[in-house]
Amino acid sequence: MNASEPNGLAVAGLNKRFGDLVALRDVSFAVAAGEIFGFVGSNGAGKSTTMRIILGVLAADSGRVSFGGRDVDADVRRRIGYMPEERGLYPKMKVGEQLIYLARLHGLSSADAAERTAYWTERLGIDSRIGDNVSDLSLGNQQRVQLAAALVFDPDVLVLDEPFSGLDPVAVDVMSDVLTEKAQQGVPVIFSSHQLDLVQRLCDTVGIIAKGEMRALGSVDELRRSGGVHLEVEAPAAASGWADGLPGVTRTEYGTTTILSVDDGYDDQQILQAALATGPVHRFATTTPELTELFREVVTAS
Amino acid sequence: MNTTQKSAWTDISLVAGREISTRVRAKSFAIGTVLSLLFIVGLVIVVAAASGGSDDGPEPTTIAQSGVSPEVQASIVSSGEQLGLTVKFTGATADAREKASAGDVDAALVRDGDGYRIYSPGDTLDREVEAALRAGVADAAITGALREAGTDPAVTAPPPIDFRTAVQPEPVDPDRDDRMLTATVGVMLLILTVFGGGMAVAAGIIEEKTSRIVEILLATIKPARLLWGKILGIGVVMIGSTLLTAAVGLAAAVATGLVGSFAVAGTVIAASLIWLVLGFLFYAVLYAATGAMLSRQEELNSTTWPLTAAALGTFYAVLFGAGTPDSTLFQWLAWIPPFSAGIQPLRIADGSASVYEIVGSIAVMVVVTALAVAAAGRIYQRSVLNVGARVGWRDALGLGATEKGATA
Repeated sequence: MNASEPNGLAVAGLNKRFGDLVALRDVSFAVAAGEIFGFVGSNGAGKSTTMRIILGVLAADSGRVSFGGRDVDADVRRRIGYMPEERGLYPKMKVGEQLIYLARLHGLSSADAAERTAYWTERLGIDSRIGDNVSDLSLGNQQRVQLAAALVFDPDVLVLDEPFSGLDPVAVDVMSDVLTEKAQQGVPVIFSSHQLDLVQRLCDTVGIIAKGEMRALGSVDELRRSGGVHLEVEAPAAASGWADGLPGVTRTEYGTTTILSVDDGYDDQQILQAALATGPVHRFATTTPELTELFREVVTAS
Repeated sequence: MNTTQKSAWTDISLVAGREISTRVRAKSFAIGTVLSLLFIVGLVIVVAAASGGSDDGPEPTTIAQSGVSPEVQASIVSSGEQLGLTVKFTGATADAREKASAGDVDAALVRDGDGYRIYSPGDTLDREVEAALRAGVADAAITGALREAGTDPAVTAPPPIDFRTAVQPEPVDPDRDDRMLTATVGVMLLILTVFGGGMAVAAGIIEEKTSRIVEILLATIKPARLLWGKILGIGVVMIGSTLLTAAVGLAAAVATGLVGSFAVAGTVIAASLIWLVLGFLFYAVLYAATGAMLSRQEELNSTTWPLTAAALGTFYAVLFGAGTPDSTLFQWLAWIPPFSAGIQPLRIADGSASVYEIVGSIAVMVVVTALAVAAAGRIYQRSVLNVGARVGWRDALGLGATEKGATA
């Protein structure tokens, strides 16, 4: 997570306004080499704007983007694999030619470009469509070509805006494998997604952005713990209000199962005794909130 | 992997290479090229047939004769010459009258006792031919009578009367027709190329915008390189196919005798090339800027009408004014871009443009094109990533109150 770490990507203090609309306010985060960073937030929260600024297709009002401690300039950008939110390829150009062209624009020799195109189209299961125009492919296959376009030049950084949207389950698995594999090769990977289960499963770090501000940032475990530990107590005979005022209990939610939010000062044995005092206890467990719950809390709190 | 430093030229040539290869391989390009080659060859053949082939002077007047003495024949030929006719006699033939009535010859002259009879196809005879025949016969009779009387026929020669022009005579320029014809057709091709090239550039930019690939491209290379690669690629294809058309047309014109000299016409084409390049550049950058501001192909025609009007205006000015390249209108238009690109080659071919005018108008065109390049580059960079709404001129030029936009 150190910004100056070699081959890590760091974003520091990005601000961006569109007229009166504040699109980004002091957005900072860092993705180390080999780390997968999940970028989550509602539509219009600022994920795509941040990514477009990283890629230089949009200029920030202030702030800095650096790679390995060095400001991201045209030469660094050429080594970033990018999948924009608005998918874009030449519709009337053949898949293979298009990938070779993009690889060469990124600096590969024509032999390397052809070799990498062959590798990635096979890896992503579109090698049989290499001679077809992109517009003749299904949307899911176009998405695979789009990913191939981001990967074909073996980028040093991956920035993918909603790479999983519109993919079938098999393609989701392929995409997940590829992201994990690239991270294992030491590439910092940033992707945005609304599929929080995927983010929770794949990502080392997660940033939750709302209305242009980074509301929560950290490893998945940290974030889940920061949402507080929950105690689930199944005590059918207990009357509503039985846990009120116990030390460490910050929030109560009574039902057939009582859910208690607790802070660091809680004593689970004391709570258990209070529960047993009401009658039988069938279940007593601590849980950490899912990313989904945390996301709702963070986003609705604003 | 280490970062690769790439030169501007590498990027531009890659972009241009893609433009060239996708365009040249498109079916529409092959069809368009074949059609324009057929058109130019067809045009040359039609024009050559209409103008009666090579210009070896007027058609000779053929006269069949019977019993006409060589002296009388010579006298008729010489009086024909004075009237601007080239008279040729057939050998003596018995069926001179039949030949005239069949239209095989222009007239027949038949000795009949002391006199002569004239026969002509349809009993109508060109007045000049008739005059030549009558004067020739009369002169021969007078000359014969004087010889018999022992007098020198030269005494009958009238004192010479000659017209002198009040103005300084123009030196005759035998290549002028070749040059004007080549220049007129060449300028029409030039205008079509420049106009078509501009449209192709705009359409290509809108295609990249609507397919959103522009975001990937601009995350990779600088906007100016993408723009110049596109203009270069389209320029090579368009100008290349125009030069091919011009070369084939010229070859056809020389082969049919419509144009006398390959070298003269070739010089005109070479001299027009700088105007072709400047005109193409001017239109390409303006169309590029307009294309970058639009989001849909349908908006192109309604937005670019001033450019279209200027191209069509030049086209029609050339079509109807090519005969008089030194008119006041042309003298003015020769200085004003983009009209100068179409008008100046004509004035150069005609010889009515002074060296000062040629150099001056090229300088004006270069300056205006450079300004257009600067403005269009700015508009392109600011507008090309703005997908969705049409970009206003103020925002496009960055004159808006809130400075924002992508300058990568």
